[in-house]
Amino acid sequence: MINPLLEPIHGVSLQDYAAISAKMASGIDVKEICKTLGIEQAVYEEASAIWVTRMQEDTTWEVTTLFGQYFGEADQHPKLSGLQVAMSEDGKANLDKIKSDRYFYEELCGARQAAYNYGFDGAQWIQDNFGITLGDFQGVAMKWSTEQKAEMDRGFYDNVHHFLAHQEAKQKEYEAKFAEEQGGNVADDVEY
Amino acid sequence: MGFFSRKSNNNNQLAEAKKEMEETKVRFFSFIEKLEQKVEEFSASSLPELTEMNQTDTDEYKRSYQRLKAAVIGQLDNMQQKALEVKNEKIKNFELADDSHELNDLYYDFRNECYERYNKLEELIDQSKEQINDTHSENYETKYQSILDEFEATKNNFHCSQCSSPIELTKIFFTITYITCPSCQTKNTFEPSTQAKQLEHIGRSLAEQRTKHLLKEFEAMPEKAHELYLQIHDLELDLINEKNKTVIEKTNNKIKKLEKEKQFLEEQQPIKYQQYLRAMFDEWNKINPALTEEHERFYNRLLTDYNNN
Repeated sequence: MINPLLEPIHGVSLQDYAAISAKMASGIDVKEICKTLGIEQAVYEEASAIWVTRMQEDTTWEVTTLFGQYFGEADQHPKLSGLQVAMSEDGKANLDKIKSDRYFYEELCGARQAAYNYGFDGAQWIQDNFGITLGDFQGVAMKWSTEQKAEMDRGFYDNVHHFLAHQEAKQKEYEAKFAEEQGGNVADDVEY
Repeated sequence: MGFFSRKSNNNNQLAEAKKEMEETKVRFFSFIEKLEQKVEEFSASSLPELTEMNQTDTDEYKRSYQRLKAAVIGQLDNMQQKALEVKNEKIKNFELADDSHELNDLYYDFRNECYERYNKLEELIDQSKEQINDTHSENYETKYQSILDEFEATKNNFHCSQCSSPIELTKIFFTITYITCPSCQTKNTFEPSTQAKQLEHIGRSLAEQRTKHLLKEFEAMPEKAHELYLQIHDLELDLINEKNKTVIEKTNNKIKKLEKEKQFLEEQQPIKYQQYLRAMFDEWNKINPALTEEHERFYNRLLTDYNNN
């Protein structure tokens, strides 16, 4: 039986809503997105408010899970795929790399967390240094998180731990870099 | 002869290991104490700065404050990590000369003492983090009041784009809405301000803030029940070697009384949760009545989740 909570709202499907959210997170103006999709902003805003309440209501997590999947596949949306934010060549190359190279993706996750831990806006830091917007980064994160869940379902915990360890090691590397730039950590003078 | 020399060697080994463990413990305790001082000094100096920044950061998402807070917590995590690494290297991986029973006993005592000391540092760091997180406060009442004031100021100032007739706004709109002009039937687009668009989000936070005391009462219940359980357990232990009948009777009565209190408390927990949830959703509905139906479905979902767990 199809979950009634997945029914489109005023013609805005969950796939549309997730793709709009992803494009907005990439920095594309909502007006431009609505125009490309062929809906009025008023329709989008009301649909958006109700999609949030559908997720709150859904005990099966199906709406939230599918939202995550569609968010990660925003570039495959039939109408919005062509809507891209201007990106540097380096940014494009880095974005392609985090999509295909999980080690690099885990490294940037570690770097982003390290940046937050040293008082930077981690998402902005990734954009400034690797040219990848928050929306694009989150889209790729959804893809890897789906893959990781599938690995766990198959019992491949070693693989999950392997990448987690890689991310932690990279986070430490970046933290050491930030600490050096900021003149060290508070407890650097405390030695065993 | 061989037996006595082996025993003497073992005694020497034990004495040496004991000495080494004692030295390691002293050093480890001193290291943890220095870290604790750092945690206390650092938290004490960060708290007023964070409190002030929370109050003065005018950014809607308080980004500067959030960045500073993340950095402060990052430093506390760094101190904890430092202690953890030393604990693993010097205590967990402490090398034992052999696998004898005596040496292992000695080691477990040493390890437990060091772990307890480390746990105290962890507790201190957790408390500090809690204080740091508590510096974040959002005055949702003010934000909501600002939306109400704005509504009062605009509700009679919206005019038809075609015939200029006044169109009264009958409620707070939080999404772009089409309103038909009562005079010429033209469809007008009303776009709420940025703050009005936040009504649903602010509404929930404000409702949670207004009913926080009920949530706290509910959250305190399991701990109270656990305290009663411990009291009952202690009394039951007292009874094991008790011979005096009067004392036994008194203690049993006390246990019964405590058990009743505990049972009552446990029965009240779901009732209290529902009271909190109902009060919170009633507030939310008052603030944003447009989504009352949706809120109610969310309320039922949360209640079902609670009852199923």
